Amino acid sequence: MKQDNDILSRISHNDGLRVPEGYFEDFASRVAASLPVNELAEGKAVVAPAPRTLWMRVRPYAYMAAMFAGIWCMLKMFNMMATGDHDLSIDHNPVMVAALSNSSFVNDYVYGDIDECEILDGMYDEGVDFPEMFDEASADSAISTIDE
Amino acid sequence: MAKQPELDDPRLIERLRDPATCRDAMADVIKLYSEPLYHQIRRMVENHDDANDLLQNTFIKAWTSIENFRGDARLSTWLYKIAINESITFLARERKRLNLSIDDQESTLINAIEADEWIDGDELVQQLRKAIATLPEKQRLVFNMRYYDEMKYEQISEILGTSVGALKASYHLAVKKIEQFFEDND
Repeated sequence: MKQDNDILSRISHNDGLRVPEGYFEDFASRVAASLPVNELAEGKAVVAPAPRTLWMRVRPYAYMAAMFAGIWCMLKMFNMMATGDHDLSIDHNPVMVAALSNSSFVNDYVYGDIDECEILDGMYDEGVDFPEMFDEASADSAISTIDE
Repeated sequence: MAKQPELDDPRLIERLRDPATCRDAMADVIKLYSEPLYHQIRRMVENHDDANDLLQNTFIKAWTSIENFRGDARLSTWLYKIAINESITFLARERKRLNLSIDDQESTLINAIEADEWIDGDELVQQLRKAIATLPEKQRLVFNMRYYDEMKYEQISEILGTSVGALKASYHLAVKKIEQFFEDND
């Protein structure tokens, strides 16, 4: 330890570090000028947040309630499908039965999207004999209507 | 070498805490502490340009978190903590960036000392800087603050959050290693 102190006593406590001329003066003014605005420290006016409306306060709970209701409905549906307690087929749905019994509803909404050419092609492929169904004149009339 | 300012002026701290005067007070803090903090940082990173950047970051961080400064702590202690934290973070980042081990970084620091043109002093001063560069970071910090800044162990303890006993042991070990370095390089 004595020798340590001997070594260190021969060396200056000055670290010998040099800086460019006027560095500290320039540094102090440069950094002081570039300090950003500190709103908390300098007490600058801070924009008050807009007051929370009733809907903003209730909104998270409303969303949560809607989410739970959705999950409950989904589970209920799965349960009905799994247990078969309720017959969900069209035959047992009075609204659907009534709708499908109405020929104008079926023509407008069910058959409306079917291409008539495809129907005729299908019938031809299945070997339906047109003369048996129509007389020749009405068949020609039907085909000319389709062509138009 | 500028030593740290003798006293933390209570009026300066008062001005720092007053919104109306805090900006001017911070400018005074920068004037007062830039030199001792610069030396502390540069002795860690051994490069003027890096020390300049880190010193600037130190004051910007101090300013942006000035409301966290508690008047019961010494201003110098708070600033030294920020500066040391900046230095250690920088060294760790450089090690990661250059993929260096701690031993590799020691060589890098010694090379930086040899290439440093902003230096006064004789060969012994240079040798001492190289010897210090071989110490672990914590020992370098303790040795620099004790030997160059002549800080009391109590203040070093406040800055580094280490007990006085551990600091004395750390300084003693640092001196031993420096002695060994001089013996090996005679």
